Amino acid sequence: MQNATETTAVLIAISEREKRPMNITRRELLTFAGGSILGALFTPIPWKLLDDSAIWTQNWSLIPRLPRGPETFTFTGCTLCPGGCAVKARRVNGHPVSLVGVAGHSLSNGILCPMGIAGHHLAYHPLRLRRPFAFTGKGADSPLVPSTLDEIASNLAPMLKDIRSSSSKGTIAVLDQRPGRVLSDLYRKFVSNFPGGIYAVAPGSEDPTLTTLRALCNTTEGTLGYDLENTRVILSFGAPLVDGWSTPGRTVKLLQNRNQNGLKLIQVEGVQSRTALQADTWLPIMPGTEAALALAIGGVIVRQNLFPAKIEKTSPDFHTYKTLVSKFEPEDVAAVCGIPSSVISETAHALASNPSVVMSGYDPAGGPLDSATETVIAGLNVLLGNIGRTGGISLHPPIPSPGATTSPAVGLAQVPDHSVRLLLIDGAESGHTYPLSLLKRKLTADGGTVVMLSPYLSSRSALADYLVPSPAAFESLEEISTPPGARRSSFALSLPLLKQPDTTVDPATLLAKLAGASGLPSVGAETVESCLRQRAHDIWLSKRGTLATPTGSSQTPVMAMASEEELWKGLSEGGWWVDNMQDKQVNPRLTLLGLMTPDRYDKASAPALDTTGTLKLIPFGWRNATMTASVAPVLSKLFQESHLRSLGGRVHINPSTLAANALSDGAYVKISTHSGNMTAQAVADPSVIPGVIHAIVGPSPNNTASKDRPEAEGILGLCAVRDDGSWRITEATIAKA
Amino acid sequence: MEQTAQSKSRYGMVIDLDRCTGCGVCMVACAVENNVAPAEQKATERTGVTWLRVYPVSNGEGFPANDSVFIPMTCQQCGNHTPCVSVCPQNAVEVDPSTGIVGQIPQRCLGCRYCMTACPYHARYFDWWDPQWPEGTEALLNPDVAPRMRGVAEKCNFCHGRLHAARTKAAAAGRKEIAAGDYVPACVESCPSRAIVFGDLADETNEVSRLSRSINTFQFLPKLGTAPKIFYHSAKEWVRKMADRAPLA
Repeated sequence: MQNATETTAVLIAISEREKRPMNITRRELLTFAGGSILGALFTPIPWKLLDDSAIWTQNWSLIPRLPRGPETFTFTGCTLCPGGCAVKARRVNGHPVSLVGVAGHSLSNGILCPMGIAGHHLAYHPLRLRRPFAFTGKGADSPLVPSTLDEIASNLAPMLKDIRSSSSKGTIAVLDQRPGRVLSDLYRKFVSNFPGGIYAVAPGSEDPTLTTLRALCNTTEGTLGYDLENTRVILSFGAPLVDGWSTPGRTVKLLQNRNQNGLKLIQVEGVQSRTALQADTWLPIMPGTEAALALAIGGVIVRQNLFPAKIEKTSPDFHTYKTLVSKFEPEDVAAVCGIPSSVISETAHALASNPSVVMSGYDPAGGPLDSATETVIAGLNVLLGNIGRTGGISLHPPIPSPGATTSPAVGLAQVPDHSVRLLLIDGAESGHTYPLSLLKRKLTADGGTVVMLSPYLSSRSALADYLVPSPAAFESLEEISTPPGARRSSFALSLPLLKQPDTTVDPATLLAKLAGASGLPSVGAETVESCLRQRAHDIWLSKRGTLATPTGSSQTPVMAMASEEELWKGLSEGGWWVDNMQDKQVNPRLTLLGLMTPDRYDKASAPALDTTGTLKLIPFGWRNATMTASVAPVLSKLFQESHLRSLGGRVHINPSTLAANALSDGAYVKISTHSGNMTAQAVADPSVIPGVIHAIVGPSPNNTASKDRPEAEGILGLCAVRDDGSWRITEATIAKA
Repeated sequence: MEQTAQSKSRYGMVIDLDRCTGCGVCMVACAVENNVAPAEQKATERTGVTWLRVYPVSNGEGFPANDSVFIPMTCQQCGNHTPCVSVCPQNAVEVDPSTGIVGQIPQRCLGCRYCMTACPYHARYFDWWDPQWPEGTEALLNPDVAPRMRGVAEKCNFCHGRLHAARTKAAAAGRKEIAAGDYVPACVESCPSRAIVFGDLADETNEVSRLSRSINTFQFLPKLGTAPKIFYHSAKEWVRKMADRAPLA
């Protein structure tokens, strides 16, 4: 038993401990926290918090807000290139959310290209110009300063008056990038008010073979077009028939139906392009020897009498041509161009025994072949009797027009050097690009003054002194006139899908402002819409053609329309007009060589390609995708997020050429020409002929280039521009960068 | 709707590689339809998001014997042992028994990317960045498809928004089944060459069903036994021989 003293001591101890404040140890705290967490997991609290926070983050301001509202559909047309494909736009609350082709459209056959599918995004391109600007000096480095249309007009007024007074050195020129529009007529009328005023068309805006043929036909009337629907053999010297040629739906559909229509495509190209892959026969040619091949084919046709007998009588230069082609024996040419003589002979027979056409194609970045080559390619059509023949090339009446134009159209290359003091560049795009040096040398020695209409700040802006923002695609009422190479004249409206910013300038308004500033009488129209109404009026007066409904379900002859308003209403609803006039008679006295002299073709012994010394630099592009600003940001899927299309700044070179120059796939190489040098990334590509640098002209790796200075010109800055305006091939060397 | 759900369709595609020109319109149409944002500035071909990607593939020969095809590669909608379904810890991937479509549910996805590792066709993509469109473009997005946030995997679902629209249309018309022309994915609709044929493989009268059984038609990686519902067609033997390897560039 405990005694009383011990018991008292224990009680005191207990009492003392109870008096002490609660002292939580670390262990007790951790145990409590752990237990709480474990216990909380069995309650709904954390799960509810997680869910709520997830929902909360989805309401952050950066989360895209989707459009809501009534759904409607609008039929319109794409104006990104001269192809003019019909578009059906799905709109939600008035905003276009998707664009698709119109299946029943007889010209575009329900097809849109990647640029067209995303065309409604272009108005929001990061490089979009939203107000007029002026460069404070010449060159790409000078900063842009905001301006106004009135300021620009008043700044230009003294120069315009000076040019009108004839005392000026240099004149005014308008560069139209999409000729054939009613706006083109307005440009022509405008420049005709100035002594020596020039209306020039940009490279790539017209079909090169048809342009050359027009010279061989010695005619200025009518419009030449290919009757591809009845053609059985197409010999194409690099025309990108399945990758952005004229209206893409036309040729793609024809080639799809080859089993039914019997069409054969022979593609002559130094690279296995997309068109070459789809061709029935690909003739891999040494670049620069196309003329020799065309003359060798012509030689076979002449020697074996495969041409229509009338050609000998109707072509004044037939015997000159016969003498010329006699120098181009298939065996000799085969050694030069790399195509077997038997294939040359077979090609000639295929062309002569079927309805055929021979065509070349502007490369969207490489431009045309040289004029001598273009002439003999176009001349093959004359030799084969293709002009005016079913399945050949027709001369059809142009869109009815009052014919008030006074300034003839000239190609940019034909504009005299250093003759242009004030250059106005139209905002429409041909989808093609060209070296800036081609433009620069047309300007007066002081650099001239360049006013550029454009929706975007593009690489060409480097040359501009004034930038005038024109409406982007699907922002304003525009016209879609006959695409290059079309069989018949046609006309449709591109109806706006987006609200045009108030700061953009209608091209007709700019002309009116400039006319007013220089004391000129009115040029006839204040807006593009008034021009288009005038064209509809002219069509209605002519009583020609039919108007198809937007879906192509029915057609109404213009002759049966009671008023021009009826025609305008049909066009405003997305209908399209197609002419039905008989083809025009072609001048029977067609030349085979035009103004070319035979001595231009003494090149049957062109040197074989070198793979270690001087290589051939050939720029290559994809229509509408040669500049960053012309590509909607979502096209990064093709350029940046996959290997489907190459970005600008890459050069495709055959692996053997790379190895011969001690380079490897992916290496950075320095490309040097007489014009300078630049660094690019090499891509080993066995589809490129050895000895060639196949240089991609495309968008930059991202679409958020600085707005302060236009992007560098890139590979086109290295190209040598010849007197005939071509820049297809430039001698270059490569070395490891 | 209930009857439609019981219909046991098996949607699939036959892609004619000899017709494909590699234009890329299908890739752009897919991105526009499904609100796939443009590339972030740093994005590359490895980190970009393309529900449908067209690979240029060469036969490996030198010039001029070189030959190429373009292979549109998308989710192969595996009908057997669907790898992404098997590995997903979140049940964020489901096969719809009424259509056979392998669907992705981004709300459930925790971004572990097991599905990407498991997919033998490399047809799944991860959102490394928040989706961002240029200012003003948001008003042009497709209201039928919710944009996905950073940190989730995504892939082709045969334009699920269009399937819903077709179902609604069929229900409104009092029909039990979707009319064939009412449900067409964006890539099929936009293809200029008509290289992609889409439809119900279970319907033997359907063109896609007939083409899937035709000569020179093949599937990729058949040895895995995943029974893809995407079939390819080519008359070129070297192309068909690629079937045993994924055609990655």
